[in-house]
Amino acid sequence: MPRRKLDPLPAAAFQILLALADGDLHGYAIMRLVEEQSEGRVRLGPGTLYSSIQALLEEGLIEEIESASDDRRRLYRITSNGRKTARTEAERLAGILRIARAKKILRGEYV
Amino acid sequence: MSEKIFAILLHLYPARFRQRFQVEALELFRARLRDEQGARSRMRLWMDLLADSVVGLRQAYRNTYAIAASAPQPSGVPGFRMLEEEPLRPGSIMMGGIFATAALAFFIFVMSHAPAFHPSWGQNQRLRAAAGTMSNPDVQDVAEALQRKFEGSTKQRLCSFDKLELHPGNIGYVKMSWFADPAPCGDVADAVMKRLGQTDAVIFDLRDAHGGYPEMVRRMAGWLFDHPVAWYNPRATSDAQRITAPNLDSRLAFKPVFVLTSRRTFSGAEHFAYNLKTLKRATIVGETTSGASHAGGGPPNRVALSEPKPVWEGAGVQPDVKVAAGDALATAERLALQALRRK
Repeated sequence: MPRRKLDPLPAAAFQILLALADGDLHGYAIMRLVEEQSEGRVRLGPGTLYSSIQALLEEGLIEEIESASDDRRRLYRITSNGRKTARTEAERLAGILRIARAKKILRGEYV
Repeated sequence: MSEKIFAILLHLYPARFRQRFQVEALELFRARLRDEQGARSRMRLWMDLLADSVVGLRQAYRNTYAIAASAPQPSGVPGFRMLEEEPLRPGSIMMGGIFATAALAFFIFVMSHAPAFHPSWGQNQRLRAAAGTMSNPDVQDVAEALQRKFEGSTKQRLCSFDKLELHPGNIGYVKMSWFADPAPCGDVADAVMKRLGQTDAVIFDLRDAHGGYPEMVRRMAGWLFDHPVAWYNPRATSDAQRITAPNLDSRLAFKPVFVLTSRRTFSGAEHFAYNLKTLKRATIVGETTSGASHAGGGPPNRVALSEPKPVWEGAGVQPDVKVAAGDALATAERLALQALRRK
């Protein structure tokens, strides 16, 4: 049994899953969307981006689909497994967030 | 230019990663170059790329790049998985590469910082550096003279002149272990004898000499006389070899000569000592010699037949001053100083 590469889920992979939650995207668009949704804090370089995409593909969390146009770029779609993984990760973070609130580390001004 | 650097950077990634994503990655990079103009953004872009290689490389090598590559197992045939069948993981190859590079770097460091590992190389480097940086001709002359002296002393040693020293009271001291073949070493012997001419007395140390070429013995003896003398030579092949040839350059003819002997003094060295003693040209100091003659003669030839048995065979050469071999040098030096004072 090969070890699970995405356990725990790296931040970059989580961001990619979140970006794909709205719809199918190609590599460059994923990068731009990730930058946007994180307000410029996360900028995926090509190495991180494509190696994460590859890892997600291998784990079956996203899949590659034929591009409708004759564009050479590949489109990626999140799978149901991927959605499940993203939700689990979000819940895990939410749990941590709750603890932080309870410990008065995080005040009300954030979400 | 930037694209080329990035393409080189991409070569750090596993081949299958490049095969699959290189085109896209390059396109992405181009798009970012286009979107992010200005020195500041560019700087940030390259910083990003550097950080990206650190994170991305690790991830890229962890991937297997084999989604649908599961080998089909023929059913009904028991399958055995062997170690060699497992493909080498890219991560292991990368680790191997890193270790090999580190080892190579270490090796290069050691080689360049420790000339002791390669003495001749280091010496040449130093010599070349000395020759190259020192434009002063005097210094260069000195360096050349040193080099010549070094070569000279090497040749002296190869010709079995183990030591050539000036002892207190301007006494020349030469230690020999062998009377070498005059063909290659005649010049060296002449040079040594000429140098000894500048001294007031000469000590030949033959305590560890184990023989040599009779012709060399005769050649060196020639320097000690200002006229030809009859030379007892059991190895002579002609009458010419029974007489010494005086040397015009010699300034040794009337100077006191001492020969140090020991029980180990052998064959050709006994030849030298015996003749100088018989001719009363030298004072023999030390022990009775070993009394050898034919040792090392090889196949019987005309040389051996001309005198079947040298007079010292069996008996050895008796010293004029009998002292232990270890005290011979000090005794000879004392005697030499006495002799010089009498003059």
